[in-house]
Amino acid sequence: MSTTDFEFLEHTADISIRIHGKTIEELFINAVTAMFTILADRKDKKGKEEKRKISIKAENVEDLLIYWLNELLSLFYTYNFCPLVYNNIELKKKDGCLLTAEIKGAISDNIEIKTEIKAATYHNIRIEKEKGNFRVDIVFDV
Amino acid sequence: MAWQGKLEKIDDYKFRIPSSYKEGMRVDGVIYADEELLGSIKDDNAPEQVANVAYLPGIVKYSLAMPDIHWGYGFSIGGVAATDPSREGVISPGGVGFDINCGVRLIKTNLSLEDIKNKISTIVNRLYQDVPSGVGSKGEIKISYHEEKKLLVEGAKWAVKKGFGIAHDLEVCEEEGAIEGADPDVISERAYERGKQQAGTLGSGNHFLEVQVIDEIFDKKVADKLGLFPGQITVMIHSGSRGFGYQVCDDYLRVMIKALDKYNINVPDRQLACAPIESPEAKNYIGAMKAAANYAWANRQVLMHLVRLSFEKVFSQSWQNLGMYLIYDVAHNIAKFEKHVVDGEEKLLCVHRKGATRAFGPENIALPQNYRDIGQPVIIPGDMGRASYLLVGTKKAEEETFGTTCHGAGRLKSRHEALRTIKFDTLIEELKQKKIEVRAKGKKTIVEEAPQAYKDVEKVVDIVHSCGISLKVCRMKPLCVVKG
Repeated sequence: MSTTDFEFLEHTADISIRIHGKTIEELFINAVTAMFTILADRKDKKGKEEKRKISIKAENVEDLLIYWLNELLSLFYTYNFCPLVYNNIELKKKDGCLLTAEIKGAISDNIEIKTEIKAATYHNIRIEKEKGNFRVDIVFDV
Repeated sequence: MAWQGKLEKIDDYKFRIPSSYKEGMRVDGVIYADEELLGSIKDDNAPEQVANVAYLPGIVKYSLAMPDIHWGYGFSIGGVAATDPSREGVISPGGVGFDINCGVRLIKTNLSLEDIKNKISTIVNRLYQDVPSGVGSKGEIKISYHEEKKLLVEGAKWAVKKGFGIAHDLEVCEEEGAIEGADPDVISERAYERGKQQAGTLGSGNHFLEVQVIDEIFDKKVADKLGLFPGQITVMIHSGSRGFGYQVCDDYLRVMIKALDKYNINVPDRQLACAPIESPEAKNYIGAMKAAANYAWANRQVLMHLVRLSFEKVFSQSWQNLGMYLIYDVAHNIAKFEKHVVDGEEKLLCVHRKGATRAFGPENIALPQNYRDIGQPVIIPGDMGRASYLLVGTKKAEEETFGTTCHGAGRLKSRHEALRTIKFDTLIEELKQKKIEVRAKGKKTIVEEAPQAYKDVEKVVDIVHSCGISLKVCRMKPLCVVKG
């Protein structure tokens, strides 16, 4: 993801960013990449690799995005899991939304946390489609 | 985006957003501010969030905002809402926030500025070394799952039992450091895991540890009662429930979002997700929130213990000899069940304080016996370059604001804007001129937390003092600061 795939918006107390994606799956991946760009620098590029399967359900795609971000945030804080590669990421819409993904990540103790993100919030969350691309603004509590 | 909605002046310090502003508002919004402060409050659109909170089912009297109000998510920071369980009132995790029981404690010493003025660097270096701080910091205190369960029920009492303090510390802590009703069985495994690693850590962002000197006394009678005098050294700790609280809030926001449909609740922002207080969803959240509140009280108790040990090392005296006794510890992100008068009738309400401090007046039975003649100490941290304040709560606060006052200076600039407009070297030079030493893991945190990024705490405190919802006791100037 290039740095142009997200931009900072003004927010008095916390961090607000705008994320873009060509597909909804790409939007989800870009949101994680943006979050980790703000959150941490992995000093030790080697680390131990680990694969995790993720399956999350939500009523709608906006809630699903926040669940997804907070799940990865929680895995990071609890197990030092830094996501690197996303395989078989799939979003199904039937009786709500289901996201499944296989994530290859690194487990590393040598991480510099730049800004401690407490959580992604649901504040005014709305995924919009513009000229075939997806866009969303997310407020992170920091 | 500046707020353009209707604001009616009630008096010099109160402004009303009428419930007719938006369809769905159940009560008015009331903002405590003066004309000058109102400018910056409108600038960041925070009144819109005050209006949104007025949608909560069962909300009584008004959706309140203290003068340090600023744009948050869901609730504004500085927002207060009381809901009535007997009128299908709700509880909203967004009205508490991710950092459940973020709060402050103030410790006095018998040292004066003369005693420490040549030791400031030694003290700040010692504190920086001995108190785990910074983003994602992990504590020296390792606890098992079994111990963590006890900690969640016993809060600061758990810490005192472990030797991190004395019984007196608990007497002068809100809820005596452990709120009843914490339920360790409604906490996720992930929250336990995150909590195990971070007990006894300061955290990051606006959390801090500060050594201060009292430079002005406003109420000598109350100051005498608390054993405070001009030139006296105090220590302030600002921290919360760390990753444990964030995980609890996240877990229960998911539950509450589902509850919106189940209970047919309409709120204008999903971050205000909530459930009726009598529902199983709310009951579980309340048990978990109280557990996180107790985690935070235990955390601040351990932090205070580490501060006392640091001072012992620097001064080669016991902390008791240094007179390092707790003045008070108070939460500013919490929901509590309290009795308040509504339409002439005493009601048990759920009072959400999101960046707001309880400020009970004299004679309130929730206060330690020793403080019942003066009212509850209210600790208001400022920014690292200006000052912090100690106030006391009042009967007027109990009558007007569900016994609540402000919680701090309130941000003025975003972190991003602070980084863009404030130079690190200039800031350090300015602080040096004021003889203030700062330690933090990175330059970025210091710049983000620069005094210029905050409103002037004096203005905020003067408003709550002038309108009588808490009264000034003394002002403390920073000498050295450890930022998280």
